[in-house]
Amino acid sequence: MQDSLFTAQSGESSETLEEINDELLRRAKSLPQFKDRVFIFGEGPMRAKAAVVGESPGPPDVDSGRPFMGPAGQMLDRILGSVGLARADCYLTNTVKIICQGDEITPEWLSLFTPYLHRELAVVRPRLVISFGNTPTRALLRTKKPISQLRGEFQDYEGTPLMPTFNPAYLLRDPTKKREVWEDMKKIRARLASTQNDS
Amino acid sequence: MEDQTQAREILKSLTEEVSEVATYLRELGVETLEGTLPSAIEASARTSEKAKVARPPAVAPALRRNANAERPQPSPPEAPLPPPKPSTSTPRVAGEPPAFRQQTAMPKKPVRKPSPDPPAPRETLFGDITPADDLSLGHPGETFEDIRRDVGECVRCPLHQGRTHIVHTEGSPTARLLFVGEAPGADEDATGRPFVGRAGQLLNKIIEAIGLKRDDVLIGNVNRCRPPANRTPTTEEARTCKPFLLREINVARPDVIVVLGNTAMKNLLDTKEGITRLRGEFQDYKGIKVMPTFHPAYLLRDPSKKREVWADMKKVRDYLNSTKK
Repeated sequence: MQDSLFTAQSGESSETLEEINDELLRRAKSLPQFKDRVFIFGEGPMRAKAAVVGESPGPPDVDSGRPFMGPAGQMLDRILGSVGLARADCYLTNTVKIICQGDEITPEWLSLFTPYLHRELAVVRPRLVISFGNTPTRALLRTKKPISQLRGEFQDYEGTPLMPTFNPAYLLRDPTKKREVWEDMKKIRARLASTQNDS
Repeated sequence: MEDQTQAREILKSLTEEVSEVATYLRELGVETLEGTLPSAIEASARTSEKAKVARPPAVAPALRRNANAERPQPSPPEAPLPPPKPSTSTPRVAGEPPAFRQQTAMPKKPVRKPSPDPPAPRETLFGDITPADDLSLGHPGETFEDIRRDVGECVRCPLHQGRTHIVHTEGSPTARLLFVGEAPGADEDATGRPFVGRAGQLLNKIIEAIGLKRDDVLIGNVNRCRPPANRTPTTEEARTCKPFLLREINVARPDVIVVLGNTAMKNLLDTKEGITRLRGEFQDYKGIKVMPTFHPAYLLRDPSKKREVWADMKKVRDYLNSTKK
């Protein structure tokens, strides 16, 4: 039923998300540090208005089996809603697909997960990417620059506009950063409005 | 000595009264206490009980400190504040706690829960986040079909590698009774339906024994893919799959859940107790009655345990009958 959704058209990725996720799972589960982990993969429509990329799932995500749940997920809903985006309009995923502490994410982990994130987005082909926080921004843009330097301006991700901004969990800890995120979201709204007829 | 103790007692109760009155007045939106103190104490001594709620912690210590200072020699009300607070506005009443001064800048209206530090406008952007509740488990208003679609061609755990069919929960979301097993076996994997093998046929008999038909109940498993060689799913495999069952439970809200066997019970109830200890007594899952009992497959190996299962199922039947709408 879903096959048609994932069927490749000319010049596009010919993989399915299931194939990508399965390959990642097999590789990760063969490594001792990932053996006992619960994986939370991305969810959402193909050709989504926006792909939302976070750092890693949190405990509420593992409990519900979905990305961006709990307080940070509620914050994400509000952030998206502020510019007229519904969660269902977006493809939601994380850079690292397992629950972890921020400082647990090593270069080795990233080198395992990042290629699958690129392949995932190549299949989803969102109209734009919102990159929440340092980890996804650095992984997607292959840069070491901090989010505070990159946020606020559209960057180019493989021909797709990518807006880096602070992640929702960070806003829960430091609400003063909401202003910046709001400024970034307004640019996203403008971009989505201007490209409405392009797709 | 006695006088001193007595005086201290009086002073203490007086201080408490003053602080309660202060809270009360503040709730009414009174901005200053100028000249109103003595009559206010009298007037609100009767109501002070009600005003006990939400006493700002800053009030009592400040007043008490001030009162103690007055003790040896009553000082004039213009005495400087114990904690000198840098402020542009002139204090109107001696001992007026900082929180009050903030209040003076606010519009005159009853303040139920005083927030000493009103958030700056920028911090209210996107609204406030309330603590997540269980409803955030799935989508609001979702259906069984939505949950099944979310499961999709699932590859979330390694069990998918050996499966033929994903075995979803079967039955109507309006059913009052849900049976939960551990994971599909060979017959279930081949057909995509839960409890269709020999154990399933025994379960059908168990259902009929309490006067119900299979169509009347919901039947599912914690894990939806058959584990290789029917091994017990690992903790991670169970945790990966369980949310979908929990979402179905949220949607169906059955009156009773019967958990079949140790694994299913431990996964649903998050307990370390064994089935032998917990079976036969109703347990609780988020306000839903949960009856743990032996798995039908175990009854096939040890038919003598049917007696216990029958006893457990009678309790389920009686409970369902007693709560019938």
